Amino acid sequence: MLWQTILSGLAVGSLYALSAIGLVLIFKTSNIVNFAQGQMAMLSTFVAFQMLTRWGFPYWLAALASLVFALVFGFFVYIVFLSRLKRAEVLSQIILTLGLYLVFRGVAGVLWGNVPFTMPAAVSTNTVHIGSAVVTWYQLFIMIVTLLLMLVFYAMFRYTKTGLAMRAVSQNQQAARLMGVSLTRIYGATWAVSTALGAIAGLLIAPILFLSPSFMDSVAVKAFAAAVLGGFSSLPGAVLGGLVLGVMESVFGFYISTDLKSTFVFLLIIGILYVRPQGLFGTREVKKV
Amino acid sequence: MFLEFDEVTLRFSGLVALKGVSLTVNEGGIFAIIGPNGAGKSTMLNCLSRIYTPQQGAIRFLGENLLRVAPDRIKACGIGRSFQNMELFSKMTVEDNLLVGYHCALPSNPFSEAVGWYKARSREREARERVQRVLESLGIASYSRQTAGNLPYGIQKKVDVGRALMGDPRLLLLDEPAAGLNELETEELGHWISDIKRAMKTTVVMIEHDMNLVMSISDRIAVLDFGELIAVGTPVEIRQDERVIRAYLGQEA
Amino acid sequence: MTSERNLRMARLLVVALAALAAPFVVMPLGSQMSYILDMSVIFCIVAVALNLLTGFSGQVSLGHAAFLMVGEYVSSLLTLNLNWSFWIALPLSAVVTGILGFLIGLPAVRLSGNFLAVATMGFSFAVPELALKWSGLTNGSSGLMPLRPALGSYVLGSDQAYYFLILACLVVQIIVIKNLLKSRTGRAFQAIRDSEIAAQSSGVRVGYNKALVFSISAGFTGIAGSLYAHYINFVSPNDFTVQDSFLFLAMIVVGGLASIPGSILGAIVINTINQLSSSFGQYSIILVGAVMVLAVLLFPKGLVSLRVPPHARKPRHSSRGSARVTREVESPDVP
Repeated sequence: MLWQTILSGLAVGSLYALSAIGLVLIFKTSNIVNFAQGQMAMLSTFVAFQMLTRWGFPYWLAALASLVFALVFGFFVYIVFLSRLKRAEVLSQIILTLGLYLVFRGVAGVLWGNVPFTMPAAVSTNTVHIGSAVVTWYQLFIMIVTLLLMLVFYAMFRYTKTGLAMRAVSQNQQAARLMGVSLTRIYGATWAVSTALGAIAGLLIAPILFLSPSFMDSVAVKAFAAAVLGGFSSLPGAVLGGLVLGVMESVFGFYISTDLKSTFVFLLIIGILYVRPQGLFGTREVKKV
Repeated sequence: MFLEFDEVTLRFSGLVALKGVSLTVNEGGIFAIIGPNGAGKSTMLNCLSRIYTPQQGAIRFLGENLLRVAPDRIKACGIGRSFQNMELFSKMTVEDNLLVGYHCALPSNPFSEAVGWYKARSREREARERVQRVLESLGIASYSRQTAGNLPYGIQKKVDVGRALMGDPRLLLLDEPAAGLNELETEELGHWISDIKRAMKTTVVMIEHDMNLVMSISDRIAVLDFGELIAVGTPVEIRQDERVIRAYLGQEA
Repeated sequence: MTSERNLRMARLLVVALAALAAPFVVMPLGSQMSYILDMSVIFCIVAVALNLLTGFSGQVSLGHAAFLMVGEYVSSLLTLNLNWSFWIALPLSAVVTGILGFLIGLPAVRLSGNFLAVATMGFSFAVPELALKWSGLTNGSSGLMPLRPALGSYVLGSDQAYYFLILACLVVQIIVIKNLLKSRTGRAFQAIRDSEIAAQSSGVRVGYNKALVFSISAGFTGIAGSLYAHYINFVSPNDFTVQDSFLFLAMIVVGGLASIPGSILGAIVINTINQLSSSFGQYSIILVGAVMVLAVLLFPKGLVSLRVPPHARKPRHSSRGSARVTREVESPDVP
């Protein structure tokens, strides 16, 4: 039974991890916490939904369109809004993304209403036995997709020119700019990629949760918590944070109480942060004086 | 003994920043610490103000081991400091910056302050007068009501020192006071550091790269290289020390 | 100097008159406007409290929705279950919330920025869950029904009468916070915001002061919670969520960080738009969101920056000076 709980925790945790990577990526390069990330994922998922159920396109085409939409959308949001605020207070940036969160939520409400829809899944939701645990094919699919994406992502970060530029910008913006890296292009690319990551998480989670303008809310909050737990500046940290969070939730929900799930999870997060204020994978910034 | 470093060793994960540094500073006078970049000069000051904790050794000030004192009690022990990058309270006024420097000397409790009791207010008034006196002695009294972060660089440097001077410290630590100042400003700085020593009977320990300034006002100089103390002496002695010359000019292989 | 003083007095007088006249001005506009006005002033209390913590002391909190609920429940339970007078329950809700705030503030000693935001956010999730779970005490989702307070035999039943109670609390809060900010404790809060290391080297106990400002901010928010409970006469676990915590942050950023008039302006603007547009459904959220986006883009220093205070005249060299300082901050290694 414990294995079962842990496995389903890992499946949910993978989704937190995917969204968390998006958050961390944006934060690492541009120092902005994008609170609108979940809503951007929600809109991208609705694009796929619209194509699938209203216009009758096949799943792969709808998913692809959703990803393309996410890439363009992320780039657009950065260029139109965030790029104007580069030198502002961190809190102003947070409020800006929160404002966008509300706008996107409202727009989705106007276009699709607040009645939840059933989102078709990419693979079947039949169950499969692994040892003593019973999981669905879909849960396995989620974990595999997440794992693959992480590998692709890691390779891109490590071996492509854009990836190198992103890493350079996250280390030192001024120096990167002097080396001929266009900051606007790199930031835009970062926003595009992390919005697409969010969209994948959205597409994967919508069949489990029902699709509505608010369906990403809880995921977005958990993704934020996962990113922080991992250290907020470490990609492996974000992944681990997501998985830890997913498993904790699942185990607490099963063995202790569903009613107080969030309470326990956040108590544990506070506990972890108290021992390691820089998060699990974060490095403590030593201020030079 | 006024101030004593006793076999102080500090390591940062692998890197040894200070290697068993032993040093005594007598009361009165200006004591300069010099050395190439990365020699551990700022680290010594940061150990003194308890920002870093050495793994071995002791730092004694007037007989008390400072390593057993909480960082926020250092000022109350009579040690004020300035910072290399000033660390001003940049959104507060100059006056408020100095008032924070007077924090430990102002006894108060939040309740009487919230209600605005007469006693709390009269203490405030007295503290403000002290601030005014320090600002005048630094020649920046006219900036008192302005936001510290908006001021020219040279003025900000003085605000930083003014804040350290509040509460009449017996020991004043200055971390590269001349960095970023032009020749004229540096000369003026030399004058008022000497003034501080004379008028306030404060001992000054300073880190400085500007050799003209160091040689002209210091009474004693310590030289650090790669975390080791390689020489201590008067300016004349230091100028002639073989090891110092080698550390500064680099050793021929 | 005297003209500056006169200007200030005149401004204060205008604001005071407007505040006193407000309920009678909006009364003919219908009960919805009176309701919006009262709610705005309650949120002013929250915004001023949050700005003390975030704007003046540099600590982010996403836990203020929870502090509001704690204030609500403490006050309701004391008056309903123990039959205590509202006039005792009101300050006690501040005390209880304040103590809780101190405890929540303790992890804050070690955390900052996003880490602090997540730690406090957990509190906003936990309180509604606990309120729902302990239904024996809180009556679960059926909620509690605290009553309007009375002065002697006169019940503050009308929105106008209750308005003056809220306004009195806000005025007392502003006086207390202004006094604090001008004194040793308040300066320590601001010093910690600007440079923790320099504050510590100046003798400020960083940890204690961080927890203290959390406690004070939470305490005032508890008062707002109590006022809200006895105004609406209904308390339930869904009253305030994390979203409200975000909205409070929006109020102080839109109005102006580290500014008391800014907090008030932001609370009134955000709450009024929020309530007025609530009948338009989805378009309401779009409107509130758009206002937040536009306000941040057009007035990055808050709406309060539209008003130029008399003492803000800058010295002549300021631009040169600040340019050099930013360079210095970005590369502290360069001597």
